[in-house]
Amino acid sequence: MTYPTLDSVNATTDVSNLLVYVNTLTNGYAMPTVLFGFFIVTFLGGAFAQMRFRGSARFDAAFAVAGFVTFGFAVLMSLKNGLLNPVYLFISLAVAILGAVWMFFGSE
Amino acid sequence: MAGTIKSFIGGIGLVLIFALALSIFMLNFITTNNPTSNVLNNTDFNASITSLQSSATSLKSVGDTSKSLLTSYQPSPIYLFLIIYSAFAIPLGFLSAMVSGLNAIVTLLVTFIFGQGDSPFSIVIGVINGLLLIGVVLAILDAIRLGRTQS
Repeated sequence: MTYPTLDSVNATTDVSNLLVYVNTLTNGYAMPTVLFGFFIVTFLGGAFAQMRFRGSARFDAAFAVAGFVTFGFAVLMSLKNGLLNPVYLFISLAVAILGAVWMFFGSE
Repeated sequence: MAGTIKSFIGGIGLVLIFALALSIFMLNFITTNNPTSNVLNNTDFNASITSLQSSATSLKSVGDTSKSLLTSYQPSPIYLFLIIYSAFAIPLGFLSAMVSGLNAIVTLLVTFIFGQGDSPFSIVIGVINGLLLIGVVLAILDAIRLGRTQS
Protein backbone atom coordinates (compact mmCIF):
# COMPACT_ATOMS: atom_id res chain seq x y z
CA MET A 1 0.00 0.00 0.00
CA THR A 2 1.36 3.35 -0.95
CA TYR A 3 1.85 5.81 1.82
CA PRO A 4 -0.89 8.48 1.61
CA THR A 5 0.63 11.92 1.72
CA LEU A 6 -0.99 15.06 3.01
CA ASP A 7 -1.35 16.33 -0.54
CA SER A 8 -4.10 13.79 -1.13
CA VAL A 9 -6.26 15.35 1.59
CA ASN A 10 -8.75 18.00 0.58
CA ALA A 11 -8.98 19.94 3.80
CA THR A 12 -10.69 22.92 2.24
CA THR A 13 -14.13 21.32 2.33
CA ASP A 14 -13.95 19.83 5.79
CA VAL A 15 -11.20 20.15 8.37
CA SER A 16 -12.11 16.78 9.87
CA ASN A 17 -10.56 15.22 6.76
CA LEU A 18 -7.25 15.82 8.52
CA LEU A 19 -8.41 13.61 11.38
CA VAL A 20 -9.53 10.94 8.93
CA TYR A 21 -6.06 11.17 7.34
CA VAL A 22 -4.40 10.63 10.71
CA ASN A 23 -6.68 7.68 11.44
CA THR A 24 -5.94 6.14 8.05
CA LEU A 25 -2.20 6.53 8.56
CA THR A 26 -2.28 4.70 11.87
CA ASN A 27 -4.36 1.84 10.50
CA GLY A 28 -7.44 2.96 12.41
CA TYR A 29 -5.88 3.18 15.87
CA ALA A 30 -5.59 6.95 16.35
CA MET A 31 -9.21 7.78 17.10
CA PRO A 32 -9.82 4.80 19.43
CA THR A 33 -6.73 5.95 21.34
CA VAL A 34 -8.20 9.44 21.60
CA LEU A 35 -11.46 7.89 22.79
CA PHE A 36 -9.67 5.77 25.38
CA GLY A 37 -7.72 8.80 26.61
CA PHE A 38 -10.97 10.74 26.92
CA PHE A 39 -12.46 7.90 28.94
CA ILE A 40 -9.45 7.65 31.27
CA VAL A 41 -9.29 11.42 31.83
CA THR A 42 -13.02 11.59 32.59
CA PHE A 43 -12.94 8.55 34.84
CA LEU A 44 -9.94 9.60 36.91
CA GLY A 45 -11.06 13.24 36.93
CA GLY A 46 -14.48 12.30 38.25
CA ALA A 47 -13.04 9.94 40.85
CA PHE A 48 -10.48 12.43 42.15
CA ALA A 49 -13.03 15.26 42.15
CA GLN A 50 -15.28 13.11 44.33
CA MET A 51 -12.32 12.38 46.57
CA ARG A 52 -11.72 16.09 46.94
CA PHE A 53 -15.34 17.10 47.56
CA ARG A 54 -16.67 14.11 49.48
CA GLY A 55 -13.59 12.64 51.04
CA SER A 56 -14.07 9.29 49.35
CA ALA A 57 -14.35 8.29 45.71
CA ARG A 58 -17.20 6.29 44.23
CA PHE A 59 -15.49 4.55 41.37
CA ASP A 60 -18.71 2.98 40.10
CA ALA A 61 -20.37 6.36 39.59
CA ALA A 62 -17.22 7.77 38.00
CA PHE A 63 -17.02 4.76 35.67
CA ALA A 64 -20.69 5.11 34.69
CA VAL A 65 -20.35 8.84 33.97
CA ALA A 66 -17.12 8.31 32.01
CA GLY A 67 -18.69 5.54 29.94
CA PHE A 68 -21.73 7.68 29.21
CA VAL A 69 -19.82 10.75 28.04
CA THR A 70 -17.37 8.58 26.07
CA PHE A 71 -20.32 7.01 24.30
CA GLY A 72 -21.62 10.48 23.41
CA PHE A 73 -18.19 11.43 22.09
CA ALA A 74 -18.06 8.22 20.03
CA VAL A 75 -21.48 8.95 18.54
CA LEU A 76 -20.26 12.40 17.50
CA MET A 77 -17.13 10.83 16.01
CA SER A 78 -19.10 8.28 14.03
CA LEU A 79 -20.96 11.05 12.22
CA LYS A 80 -17.89 11.37 10.00
CA ASN A 81 -17.31 8.43 7.70
CA GLY A 82 -13.92 6.79 8.15
CA LEU A 83 -13.18 8.53 11.44
CA LEU A 84 -14.12 5.75 13.83
CA ASN A 85 -14.65 2.06 13.23
CA PRO A 86 -18.19 1.10 14.34
CA VAL A 87 -16.74 -1.64 16.54
CA TYR A 88 -15.29 0.99 18.88
CA LEU A 89 -18.64 2.76 19.02
CA PHE A 90 -20.28 -0.49 20.09
CA ILE A 91 -17.53 -1.13 22.62
CA SER A 92 -18.16 2.30 24.13
CA LEU A 93 -21.88 1.44 24.28
CA ALA A 94 -20.99 -1.79 26.05
CA VAL A 95 -18.81 0.11 28.52
CA ALA A 96 -21.66 2.54 29.20
CA ILE A 97 -24.06 -0.34 29.89
CA LEU A 98 -21.48 -2.06 32.09
CA GLY A 99 -21.05 1.18 34.02
CA ALA A 100 -24.80 1.37 34.57
CA VAL A 101 -24.84 -2.25 35.74
CA TRP A 102 -21.96 -1.63 38.13
CA MET A 103 -23.58 1.52 39.50
CA PHE A 104 -27.00 -0.05 40.02
CA PHE A 105 -25.80 -3.31 41.55
CA GLY A 106 -22.42 -2.56 43.01
CA SER A 107 -23.06 -0.13 45.82
CA GLU A 108 -25.53 0.25 48.64
CA MET B 1 -26.57 -8.51 44.45
CA ALA B 2 -26.90 -6.21 47.38
CA GLY B 3 -30.28 -5.49 48.91
CA THR B 4 -33.56 -7.24 48.40
CA ILE B 5 -35.00 -8.94 45.39
CA LYS B 6 -37.21 -5.89 44.83
CA SER B 7 -34.25 -3.57 44.39
CA PHE B 8 -32.57 -6.18 42.20
CA ILE B 9 -35.52 -6.39 39.79
CA GLY B 10 -35.77 -2.60 39.81
CA GLY B 11 -32.09 -2.37 38.91
CA ILE B 12 -32.55 -4.81 36.04
CA GLY B 13 -35.44 -2.70 34.73
CA LEU B 14 -33.42 0.50 35.00
CA VAL B 15 -30.48 -1.06 33.13
CA LEU B 16 -32.83 -2.30 30.41
CA ILE B 17 -34.37 1.14 29.98
CA PHE B 18 -30.92 2.75 29.99
CA ALA B 19 -29.57 0.38 27.30
CA LEU B 20 -32.69 0.81 25.19
CA ALA B 21 -32.58 4.61 25.44
CA LEU B 22 -28.89 4.78 24.55
CA SER B 23 -29.25 2.47 21.57
CA ILE B 24 -32.33 4.13 20.15
CA PHE B 25 -30.80 7.58 20.65
CA MET B 26 -27.67 6.46 18.79
CA LEU B 27 -29.60 4.93 15.90
CA ASN B 28 -31.90 7.92 15.47
CA PHE B 29 -29.12 10.49 15.81
CA ILE B 30 -26.87 8.78 13.28
CA THR B 31 -29.75 8.10 10.91
CA THR B 32 -30.69 11.77 10.96
CA ASN B 33 -27.22 13.24 10.62
CA ASN B 34 -25.30 10.64 8.60
CA PRO B 35 -27.50 8.12 6.79
CA THR B 36 -24.48 6.60 4.99
CA SER B 37 -22.72 5.55 8.19
CA ASN B 38 -21.39 2.02 8.56
CA VAL B 39 -23.00 1.78 11.98
CA LEU B 40 -26.42 1.36 10.40
CA ASN B 41 -25.36 -1.74 8.44
CA ASN B 42 -24.53 -3.84 11.49
CA THR B 43 -26.99 -6.73 11.66
CA ASP B 44 -25.91 -7.95 15.10
CA PHE B 45 -26.73 -4.60 16.60
CA ASN B 46 -30.16 -4.58 14.95
CA ALA B 47 -30.86 -8.07 16.32
CA SER B 48 -29.90 -6.96 19.82
CA ILE B 49 -32.07 -3.86 19.61
CA THR B 50 -35.01 -5.94 18.38
CA SER B 51 -34.55 -8.34 21.28
CA LEU B 52 -34.45 -5.49 23.81
CA GLN B 53 -37.53 -3.91 22.29
CA SER B 54 -39.43 -7.21 22.27
CA SER B 55 -38.67 -7.75 25.97
CA ALA B 56 -39.93 -4.25 26.81
CA THR B 57 -43.02 -4.78 24.62
CA SER B 58 -43.85 -8.11 26.25
CA LEU B 59 -43.63 -6.50 29.67
CA LYS B 60 -45.95 -3.71 28.54
CA SER B 61 -48.47 -6.20 27.11
CA VAL B 62 -48.52 -8.12 30.39
CA GLY B 63 -49.09 -4.87 32.27
CA ASP B 64 -51.88 -3.84 29.91
CA THR B 65 -53.60 -7.21 30.17
CA SER B 66 -53.44 -7.18 33.95
CA LYS B 67 -54.70 -3.60 34.10
CA SER B 68 -57.65 -4.37 31.85
CA LEU B 69 -58.47 -7.44 33.92
CA LEU B 70 -58.34 -5.57 37.20
CA THR B 71 -60.22 -2.45 36.06
CA SER B 72 -62.99 -4.10 34.10
CA TYR B 73 -66.52 -2.80 34.71
CA GLN B 74 -68.05 -6.19 33.99
CA PRO B 75 -66.91 -8.68 36.57
CA SER B 76 -66.67 -12.04 34.97
CA PRO B 77 -67.77 -15.26 36.67
CA ILE B 78 -64.14 -16.18 37.13
CA TYR B 79 -63.19 -12.79 38.52
CA LEU B 80 -61.39 -14.17 41.49
CA PHE B 81 -59.45 -16.47 39.28
CA LEU B 82 -58.44 -13.52 37.12
CA ILE B 83 -57.13 -11.66 40.14
CA ILE B 84 -55.04 -14.67 41.05
CA TYR B 85 -53.93 -14.95 37.44
CA SER B 86 -52.77 -11.32 37.45
CA ALA B 87 -50.90 -11.87 40.66
CA PHE B 88 -48.93 -14.56 38.89
CA ALA B 89 -48.80 -13.00 35.43
CA ILE B 90 -47.14 -9.74 36.46
CA PRO B 91 -44.10 -11.31 38.18
CA LEU B 92 -43.95 -13.90 35.41
CA GLY B 93 -43.89 -11.19 32.75
CA PHE B 94 -41.24 -9.31 34.66
CA LEU B 95 -39.14 -12.45 34.94
CA SER B 96 -39.45 -13.23 31.22
CA ALA B 97 -38.58 -9.65 30.32
CA MET B 98 -35.63 -9.78 32.69
CA VAL B 99 -34.34 -13.02 31.19
CA SER B 100 -34.69 -11.85 27.61
CA GLY B 101 -33.21 -8.48 28.50
CA LEU B 102 -30.23 -10.14 30.16
CA ASN B 103 -29.80 -12.31 27.08
CA ALA B 104 -30.00 -9.24 24.84
CA ILE B 105 -27.42 -7.34 26.88
CA VAL B 106 -25.05 -10.29 27.00
CA THR B 107 -25.47 -10.87 23.25
CA LEU B 108 -24.80 -7.19 22.65
CA LEU B 109 -21.62 -7.21 24.72
CA VAL B 110 -20.29 -10.51 23.34
CA THR B 111 -20.89 -9.79 19.68
CA PHE B 112 -19.48 -6.30 19.86
CA ILE B 113 -16.36 -7.17 21.79
CA PHE B 114 -15.49 -10.70 20.66
CA GLY B 115 -17.32 -11.01 17.34
CA GLN B 116 -20.01 -13.49 16.45
CA GLY B 117 -19.81 -17.24 16.23
CA ASP B 118 -18.81 -19.97 18.62
CA SER B 119 -15.61 -18.46 19.88
CA PRO B 120 -14.26 -19.60 23.26
CA PHE B 121 -15.22 -16.25 24.75
CA SER B 122 -18.83 -16.76 23.67
CA ILE B 123 -18.93 -20.16 25.34
CA VAL B 124 -17.45 -18.74 28.55
CA ILE B 125 -19.93 -15.87 28.52
CA GLY B 126 -22.75 -18.34 27.85
CA VAL B 127 -21.78 -20.37 30.91
CA ILE B 128 -21.63 -17.19 32.99
CA ASN B 129 -25.04 -16.19 31.65
CA GLY B 130 -26.50 -19.54 32.64
CA LEU B 131 -24.99 -19.30 36.09
CA LEU B 132 -26.39 -15.79 36.47
CA LEU B 133 -29.90 -16.93 35.54
CA ILE B 134 -29.71 -19.86 37.95
CA GLY B 135 -28.52 -17.44 40.62
CA VAL B 136 -31.43 -15.12 39.93
CA VAL B 137 -33.94 -17.96 40.26
CA LEU B 138 -32.32 -19.21 43.47
CA ALA B 139 -32.25 -15.67 44.87
CA ILE B 140 -35.97 -15.27 44.15
CA LEU B 141 -36.72 -18.60 45.82
CA ASP B 142 -34.59 -17.63 48.80
CA ALA B 143 -36.31 -14.25 49.08
CA ILE B 144 -39.75 -15.87 48.96
CA ARG B 145 -38.72 -18.46 51.55
CA LEU B 146 -37.36 -15.85 53.96
CA GLY B 147 -40.18 -13.37 53.35
CA ARG B 148 -37.94 -10.56 52.17
CA THR B 149 -39.78 -9.81 48.93
CA GLN B 150 -41.55 -6.69 50.11
CA SER B 151 -38.95 -4.83 52.14
